[in-house]
Amino acid sequence: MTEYNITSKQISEYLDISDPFLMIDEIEEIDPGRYARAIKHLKHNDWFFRCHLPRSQSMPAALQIEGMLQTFVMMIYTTEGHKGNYSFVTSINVRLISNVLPGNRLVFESTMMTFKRGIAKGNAVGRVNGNIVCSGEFTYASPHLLTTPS
Amino acid sequence: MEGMEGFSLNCIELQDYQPNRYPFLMIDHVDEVIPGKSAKGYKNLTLNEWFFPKHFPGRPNMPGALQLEALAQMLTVAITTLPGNKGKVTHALSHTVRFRKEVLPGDKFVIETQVISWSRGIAKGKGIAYTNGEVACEADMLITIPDILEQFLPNKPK
Repeated sequence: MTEYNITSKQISEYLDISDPFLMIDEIEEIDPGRYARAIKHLKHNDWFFRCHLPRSQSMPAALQIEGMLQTFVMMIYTTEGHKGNYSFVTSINVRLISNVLPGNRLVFESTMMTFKRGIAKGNAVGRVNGNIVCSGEFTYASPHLLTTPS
Repeated sequence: MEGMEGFSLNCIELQDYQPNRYPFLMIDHVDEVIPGKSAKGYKNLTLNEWFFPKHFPGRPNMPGALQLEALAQMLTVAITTLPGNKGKVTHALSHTVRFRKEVLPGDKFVIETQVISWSRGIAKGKGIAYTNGEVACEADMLITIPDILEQFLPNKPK
């Protein structure tokens, strides 16, 4: 198992997404095509806490999902020979369990179940202090790898 | 719920029923909302949208998570227009979504949502979004109003 040390700048290069929409700050551990663990540090001055919501601050569900998706897609993008190609999300099935508040350290973990003929299926969970806050199953398609079974 | 008539909301009136604000307000106009039953509306996408330069540089397309957010916000409007729910905060519980095609700048993102059931602060609903008359994504959603749900929770030991 190879472990990579990926900095924040490299995450942005791999994903081709930059600051306001980048939902993972660092990659702790990654095993391309199998497993990834990423961290998001939530600060009081993150842009989404100002608009969501006026009276109570909590991380928008859509962005928790985006964080899980970005952790998941890192597993695909770090596989060999994937550079320069893109993958698209085709289906998601998520459960959102509790609020994520400013100051929390959100740990995303994702594991791949199958990755065949350009279709990647797997799951991801987000944890705060060891408690699960969101979990989901995702399907990604990589058009350049799609083939019909012979 | 019967006998309630549909009405439309413009982008200003909409904010009474929807707690999200710029840059997280993902719907522009509600064409017809029948409280507790359904809501239809749209979002106009332009290249000026804040997420297009970031997702992705040189080949803009609307993030899937935000398409889902747009559907969920439209479902929220169908619930918060019920009497007594105005201005309440909603939370997501569970979503299942399928994405059919890319949503590009210049598209009109037409959203139709239906409430399947609404009881004890939990709303189950489904939504379909269209661009150019074709299905862009469809979702089954479960959202809650925590204020109402709390009244029905069993007492927890403190």
